[in-house]
Amino acid sequence: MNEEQPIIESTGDCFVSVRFRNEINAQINNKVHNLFKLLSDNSNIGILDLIPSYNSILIQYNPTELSIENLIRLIEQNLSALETTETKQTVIEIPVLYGDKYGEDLDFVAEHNNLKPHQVIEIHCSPEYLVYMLGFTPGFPYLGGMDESISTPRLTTPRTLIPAGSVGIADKQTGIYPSESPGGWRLIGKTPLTLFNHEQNPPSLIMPGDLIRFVPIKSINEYETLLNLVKTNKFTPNKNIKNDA
Amino acid sequence: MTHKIFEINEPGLQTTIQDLGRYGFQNIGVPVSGPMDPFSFKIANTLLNNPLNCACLETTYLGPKLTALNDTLIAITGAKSIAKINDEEIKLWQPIEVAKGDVLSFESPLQGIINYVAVKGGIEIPLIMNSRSTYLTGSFGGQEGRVLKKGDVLFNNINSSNNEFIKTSFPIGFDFIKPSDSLELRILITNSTNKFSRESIALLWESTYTISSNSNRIGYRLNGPDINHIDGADIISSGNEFGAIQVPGDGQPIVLMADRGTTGGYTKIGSIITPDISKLAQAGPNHKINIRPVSFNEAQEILSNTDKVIKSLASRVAGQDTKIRVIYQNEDYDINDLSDKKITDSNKTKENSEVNSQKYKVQYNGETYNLDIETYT
Repeated sequence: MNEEQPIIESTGDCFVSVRFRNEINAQINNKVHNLFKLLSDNSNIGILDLIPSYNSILIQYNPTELSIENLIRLIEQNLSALETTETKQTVIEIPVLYGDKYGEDLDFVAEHNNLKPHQVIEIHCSPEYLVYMLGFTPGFPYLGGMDESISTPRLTTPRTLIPAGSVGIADKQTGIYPSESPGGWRLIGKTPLTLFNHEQNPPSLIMPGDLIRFVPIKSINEYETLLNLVKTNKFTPNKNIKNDA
Repeated sequence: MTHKIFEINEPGLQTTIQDLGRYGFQNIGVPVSGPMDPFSFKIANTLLNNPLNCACLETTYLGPKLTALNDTLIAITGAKSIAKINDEEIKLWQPIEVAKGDVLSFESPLQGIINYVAVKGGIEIPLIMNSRSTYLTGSFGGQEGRVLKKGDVLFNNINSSNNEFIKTSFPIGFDFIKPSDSLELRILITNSTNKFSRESIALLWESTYTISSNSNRIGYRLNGPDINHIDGADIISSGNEFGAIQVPGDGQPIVLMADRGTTGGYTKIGSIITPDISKLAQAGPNHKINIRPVSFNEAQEILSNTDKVIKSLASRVAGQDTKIRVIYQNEDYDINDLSDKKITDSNKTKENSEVNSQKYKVQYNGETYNLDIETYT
């Protein structure tokens, strides 16, 4: 047997965790998102919530409506249906204005890696990043796929306030702050898009399992124009569907 | 139909609007929120024949002072607090009529720290992501995402169909222990426990921890002996359970509560069983606690018994109760299964304790049932 079975475990009197191989990689993460889709079917009475993460999914259920035996049976049925599940991924373009006051640490990141700032931008904009999961704060994406040639250690003293939309680097990771918060990431740019808004439906622009691509904004004017469109709900981010059948 | 029901004169220390929680958005990182003590919360709604998910006020330490803007019906549960209407003390754990102009006020709790104030029909406030719960850190839900303040006006939503019900009390109340005693919390250990040495786990069972004053709706920190890791405190980030005992690098456990982050990257030793989360929430800072493991079956049985207590109250309130029930120590016994049965208060059995035995004869439908209840002091 090549494919090891995931571990199904009760992690509380109302929680069951399904954990795949203990590593961070795109294939395993893809199984998590496909299992999430199958289990989120509304007909699954008794399932209260599902939290997908890198290599596992945590299921909160109501044992008076759904017995543990039936829940495990449901999980196993869906696990065996995983292989035939078609994967559709959305690629979202995130426009970013890099450098200056929008990304105060761009020069530091360039120097640290013996690059010119425009090279950092090119490298940061080339891959499609996988959204492994959302967590930490509402709408915060854990992204994978950054080129290690621009990795930079965190600030030794975190900033007390980072504005929403800031794009940063912390070691080998890159990320976007969906809301104002303190943080120690090296800031390289800022997007005018709203990543999370509790009054919108859906509240999060980015969903687990999506791919995102950063697109450089050429001028402050362009940034301000985009920002105005976003604020008046006249901007629709570019989204493309990718089939990996 | 919505009615104005209360205006806030004094907000209390931390009064928020909560329903059962915000479910269905943890996949995008939105915490559940909801009641810290789900048991008392559910009883409060049940006493008014409200659906369990109706929004209530959750008070912490000192409750608010409110003026009624219309006649209504309330039920207060949770901490042993002195609550008054126009300076006259009212009973907790039962429906209370409130007339327009009445002033409802609280004094600091004698035992426990959290009260729920349910109102007939539930507090009406716009839904944010399908829930009325307040998420303070994210500043959304409930009353503009914040604690209540002076001048806020609360509304309820009366649905005429559920106004007829039987007004009954819930005399068991909350199973508080003496503040000087150590609260026993039962946990389900999880497999990731192989992150901790056997000695460390043994230490957790043997030691007494104290709830830190640096505790809030996100988590209760426990101070006591360090729980050491075999190989570091970091794990691949994964979903967080309500009541999970997280052990970060410094070895001091944190119990994840209602406003916990959806995911976390620290090792977890297990999860406190749901009925005991309520007890922990009420114990509050500086209370001593002990932790002991339970089996999965034991945990499910305890949970199902707690659920039965709530359901049995609900059927009494709805006038659908056809059986006589005996409720003792939060356990619900069907009288028809009780013939000559002895209920022993086993949780509190201790050496040198005095047994207090009481005999009851219960007659029902021409049958006589003998009932002995033994309590230990």
